Amino acid sequence: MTLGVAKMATIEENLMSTYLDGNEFKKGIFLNMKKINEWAKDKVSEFIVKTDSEKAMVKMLSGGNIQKVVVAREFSNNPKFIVADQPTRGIDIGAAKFIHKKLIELRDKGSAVLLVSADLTEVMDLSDSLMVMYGGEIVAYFEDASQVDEMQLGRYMLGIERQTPEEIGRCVYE
Amino acid sequence: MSDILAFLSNILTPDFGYSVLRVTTPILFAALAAVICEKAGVMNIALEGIMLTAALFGVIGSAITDSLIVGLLFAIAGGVLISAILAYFALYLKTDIILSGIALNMLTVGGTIFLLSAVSGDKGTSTSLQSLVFPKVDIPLIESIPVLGPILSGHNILTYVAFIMVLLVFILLYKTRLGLRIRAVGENSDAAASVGISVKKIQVIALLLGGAIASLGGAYMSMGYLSHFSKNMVAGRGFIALAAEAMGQATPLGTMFASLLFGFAEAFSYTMQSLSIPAEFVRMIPYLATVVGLVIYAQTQMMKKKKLKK
Amino acid sequence: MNNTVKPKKLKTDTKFEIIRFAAAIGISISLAFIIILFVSDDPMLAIQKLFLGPIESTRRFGNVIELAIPLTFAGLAISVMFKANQFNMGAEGAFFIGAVMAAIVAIKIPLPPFIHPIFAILLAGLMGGIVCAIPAVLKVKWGASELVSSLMLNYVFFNLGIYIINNKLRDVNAGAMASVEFEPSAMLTKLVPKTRIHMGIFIVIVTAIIVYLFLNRTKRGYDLRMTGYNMNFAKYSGIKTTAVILYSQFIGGFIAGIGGATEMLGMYSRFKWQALPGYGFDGIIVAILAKNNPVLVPVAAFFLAYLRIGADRMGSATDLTYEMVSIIQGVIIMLIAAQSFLAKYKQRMVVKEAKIDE
Repeated sequence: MTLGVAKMATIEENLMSTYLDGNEFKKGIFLNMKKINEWAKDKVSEFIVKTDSEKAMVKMLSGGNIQKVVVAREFSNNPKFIVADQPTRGIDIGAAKFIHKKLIELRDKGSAVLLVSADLTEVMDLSDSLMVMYGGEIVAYFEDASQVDEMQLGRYMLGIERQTPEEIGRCVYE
Repeated sequence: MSDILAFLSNILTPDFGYSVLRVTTPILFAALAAVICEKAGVMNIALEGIMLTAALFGVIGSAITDSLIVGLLFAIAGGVLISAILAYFALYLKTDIILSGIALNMLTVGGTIFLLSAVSGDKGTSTSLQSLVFPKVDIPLIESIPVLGPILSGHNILTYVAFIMVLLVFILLYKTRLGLRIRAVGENSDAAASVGISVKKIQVIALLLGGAIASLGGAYMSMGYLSHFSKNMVAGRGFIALAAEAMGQATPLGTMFASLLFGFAEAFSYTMQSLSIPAEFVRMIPYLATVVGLVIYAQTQMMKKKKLKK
Repeated sequence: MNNTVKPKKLKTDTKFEIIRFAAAIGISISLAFIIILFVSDDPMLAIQKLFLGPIESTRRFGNVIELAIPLTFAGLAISVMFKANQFNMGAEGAFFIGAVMAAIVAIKIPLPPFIHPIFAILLAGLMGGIVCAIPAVLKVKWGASELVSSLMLNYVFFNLGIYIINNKLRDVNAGAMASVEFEPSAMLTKLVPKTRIHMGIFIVIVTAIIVYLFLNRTKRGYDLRMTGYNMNFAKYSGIKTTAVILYSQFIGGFIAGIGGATEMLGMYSRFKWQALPGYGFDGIIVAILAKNNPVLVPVAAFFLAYLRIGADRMGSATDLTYEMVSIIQGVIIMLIAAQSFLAKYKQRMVVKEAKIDE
């Protein structure tokens, strides 16, 4: 809430914040309000943000819906690389599942997605590859997340075991 | 050349030193008030209005009852009233505290003129009111000391109170339970709340206490520095006090030195008027000094932050 | 969920704001009534003058419009800065310097008519912008609070301006301290007979429109508003917030400077001010009343001007002084700016609306 949105601004205004550098939404020196508004409506619809209007203030939304506004903004300009840090923490299940779906879509479209999360289920469900950190360092890398055994994962997470630098290095060299 | 000599001979006199202390008094009172409020985490922009109201109430009170003490009580009551309004609007009705302070300052400028006229018929200056003035005090042994004597002795009693107040505020903030609570609330209100301290109550107390102290500064203006009330007589001292508190790093002692600095600038500007420098430029000095002081303070804050990051 | 605009939801918000506004005005006027009843020997006359004084005659109503012009300029100036969350109070100094600048051009720089006032006004805007930009620079470079520095600079620039007027432009033959008369080509023509309403009214309307378009229809205006809402969010979105801090305050000062020049060239034939006129500070009141909305600023300015002229009529006709208006307007602003004022009532309204929706 502190970085990703301006609570007192409208959903529309929050959505458009990173899209105004080019000329896509401009008409000369002015903003093309109609185009922005249509686009915003599309986004609200596409990301199922529960609201009466795209002109509602963001602070009126529930936590999950606020996050969906952020996600709508960040995922919609064909990012080459997304870092998602705890994207569904504190958010209702419906919104969380939706965000997961969108992350997979992004991956399908060719974006690189780095998901950082303390939620094991989320990480196991979504990841293609998996990296474990302990004490500020990377201690394990699994190229194929589906092959990972939870008990083994736990050992890395608790710092009981560590992979060798060569094994970890595979994430870069493969 | 002779101008410079004349100028120096004006400054390096006990009279000048005396003047500095005299002029610092209202700023110091208000700045100490600002320290308490700042420590509690509430910014009291209304110091200007508090002082002005206290100045008027003191004059009216002492004129009506012919008693200095009652006049002083009136002054404090007036200042505390404004602080109470500020506290109510900012803490309970959730008006932005800066806006509330500004609004109160504006309200009191006109409000005091109106009240004066309603009570005495005077338009702007309390000429028809026989208000009292606090006495000057000569300190027996000190007054005989060469050079320092004339500087330190013979001041209005409120001047001495102001400097004693520095010690009192220090004791309050660092040696009493209330002071500890005030600082806790200002430092981290959530943590304070979690141990059962009522954040709002403490902030209200801080504002009222600050208001009372600032009122002494206001009373001094109309019952010591001058002997009457005149419209808008506080003339920005409430804001200079904020700058002094900032420069003094919100500590009583630091604030005292910062206030003295501004008092120096103001006294300096009066002395300068005897030279061939135009009066208008001389009058700018205290204000420019405040800006410079503010910048210095802000810089040191930024330096501190950078050090912490490393 | 259908995502088209549902007018009902918005109406609750605006409905509530209107109620709050009316309540604030109601309370302060009641307070005024009480004070009048207590203090005045002739309360009915006082009340009549206060509320109906401004419409007694064309000239009086003209006074309201004349006063509304500088109040609108100041309100716009402050609104722009407040919208960016910059508490710069330097509009007073900028306004004053703008007026001084206009006087300088009107006296010392002969130019053909029409061009003369335009040049004066634009130059005044530039100087005003610089006045308000200084606190901005201090903030950006050294982190100094723009609130205190701008207030202090008001007095610095006041003294500077007065020095220029009293020493370089002074008319030694005039009775009081005043400048030499302006060249007629510099002054703004009067428009409405029996009043002193001048061309400045067009300038201020155009300025209000430009401010509205700037804030709501341009990227820079958007940047400014987002920075005001949440600076971290703006920074994160790629907005150059440092630039915003600087230009928002420059623009505010520019508008105030234009206001000062317009007021000087429209209402006076020589510079007579020996103290700060106070319009810049009044702009704060207007901005708060108008909630920093450029469309509402002229309305708020008109409202405040009406109140002031009424108080002035009351002051000259009765034993009450004009300054009572400070109490009324103070109470109004504080109530309006109070977010929790009637908040419980709003809560009930919202809940009722939600129940109807079900």
